[in-house]
Amino acid sequence: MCREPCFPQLIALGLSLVCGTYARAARAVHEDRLSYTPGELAAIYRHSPLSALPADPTNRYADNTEAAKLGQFLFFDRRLSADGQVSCATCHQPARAFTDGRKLARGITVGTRNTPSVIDAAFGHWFFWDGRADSLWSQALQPFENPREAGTDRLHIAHLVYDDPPLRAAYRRLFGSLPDLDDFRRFPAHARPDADERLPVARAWASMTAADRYAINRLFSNLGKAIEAYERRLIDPGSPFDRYVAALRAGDAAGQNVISAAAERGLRLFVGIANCELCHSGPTFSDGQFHNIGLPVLPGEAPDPGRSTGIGLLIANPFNGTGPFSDDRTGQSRNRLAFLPSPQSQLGAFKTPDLRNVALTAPYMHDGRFATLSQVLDFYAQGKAASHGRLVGVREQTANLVPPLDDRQKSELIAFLRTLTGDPLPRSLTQAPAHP
Amino acid sequence: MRRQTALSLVVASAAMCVAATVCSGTPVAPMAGMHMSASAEPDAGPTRQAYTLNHAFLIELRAVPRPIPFEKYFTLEFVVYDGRHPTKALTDTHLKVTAGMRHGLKHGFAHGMQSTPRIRAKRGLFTVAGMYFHMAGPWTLRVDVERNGRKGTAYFTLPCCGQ
Repeated sequence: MCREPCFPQLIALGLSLVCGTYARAARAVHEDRLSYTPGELAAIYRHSPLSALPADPTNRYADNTEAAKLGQFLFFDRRLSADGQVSCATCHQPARAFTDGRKLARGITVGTRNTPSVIDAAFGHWFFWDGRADSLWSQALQPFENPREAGTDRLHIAHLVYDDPPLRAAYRRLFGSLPDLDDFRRFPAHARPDADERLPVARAWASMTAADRYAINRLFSNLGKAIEAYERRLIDPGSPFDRYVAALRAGDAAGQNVISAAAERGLRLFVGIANCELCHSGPTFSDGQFHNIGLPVLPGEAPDPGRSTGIGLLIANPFNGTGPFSDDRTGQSRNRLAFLPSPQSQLGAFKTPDLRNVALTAPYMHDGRFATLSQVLDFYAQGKAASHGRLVGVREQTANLVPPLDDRQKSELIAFLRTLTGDPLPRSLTQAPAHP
Repeated sequence: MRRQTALSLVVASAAMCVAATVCSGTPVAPMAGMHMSASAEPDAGPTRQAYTLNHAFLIELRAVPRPIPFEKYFTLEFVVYDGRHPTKALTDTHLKVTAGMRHGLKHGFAHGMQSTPRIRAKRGLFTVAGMYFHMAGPWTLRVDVERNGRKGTAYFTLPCCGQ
């Protein structure tokens, strides 16, 4: 026994001081951190990281670098519109996570639906709020001829590409020769198919031979494929939530401080009792499917049948996955169209939106009716009572699984949703390139 | 009232039947009086046989992918037997298959599938293509059978999706 503090005791004392200090430091990191159940952890891990980009066999140029460059040029090119003022980027603005901040999209004139983001769109199964396109390239074509969006026609676009030397050269390098568009008897300045056959553009289209219409459709579809190649590069580079999940996986306690304790509690609600992830599932926080959540028709608003109409438009579209311009007409595309649900079952159903960058993409819902995330959560938290008034179709009972949420829970969910804001995309992807 | 009682009996006996199927690893041989229905845990195997609620038919789920793929189309195969003599597969039978998730509902589905399966029948084997589960958890399969004006409905539980 030592009368004075002896060496071993000093070592023990020192160790205890060091350990105590370390323990206090560790507590400072862990103090208000949640510990998750294995089930919660498994659910959280399903949301991050983003999985590998799914292939699009319907577009053989989907991952072609030159096609992406051409697509990016087209995305920002206002000449591809009736008034020369509207491009894809008019509504899909890079600074707003490729949305426009408007209740309803505005191209040539005001549209009927809210602008969804293009970031991570390449992970989607179906496109538009109503699923009327089954590929990103097919989706990209429709706004050009929508009178509320770019309002132009495929012949106008074909002539523009033909008459612009850099565009024409870029097109030829990728897709081969263009039709002889100098011949205006065969290829009018303006023409497109239209449900109203009395329109001059529709009559001009009908006057063309089947072979020439096919050639123009081929050209048009190639431009869509180039735009898809660009959009496939608009992938969320990672968010605080992704870094949090990486820290969770690594057992890195300090790394978990990247999100707040409130956001952590919101995450637990999201994957737990709030039942958000029933539909907002997977790395993009969307099941990519369609649900009628019982949004009542707003005063003065026309009832929107949603996917019920989208299914018919998809089947009739020659640019769908089984059409003559698809590069994979017999694979998965065939199944997807063969097994579509009945339109009646999809009345009033809209696609589950991706929640990555959701804090940047207000307003919300297909018609932009909610200005804030708080209003969105108020809607869900009210349950059936929120669906009063005139409904289109039947409110899916899945929506009833969101329990009443108190103000604290709602603010925690919002704190979590804000952690899904991704890092900025590189400037090289968010502006028009000088050349196609 | 009678219907509720029948449903309760089916649910009460379901866990035992599902466990027997999982343990054997192969389809259980048809047995008179055996009921199965939608009460398996999400990580349990799928129901492999079920009587229609009126016992008119026994339906065997002959083939099901394990695990069921998430957000991918898959195919099921069924064989239908006479409920009183469950030894010979019936061939002159009509089958209708729907699927959905109950999410706690006693009757009906909170939501269905986002696909319309197509059924082909060949020598008593019903091939159901185009099944598609877009949500994790236990799905309930409703199989409606009709033969010579006689009808029956059976329920199967299919857990989605090995996550």
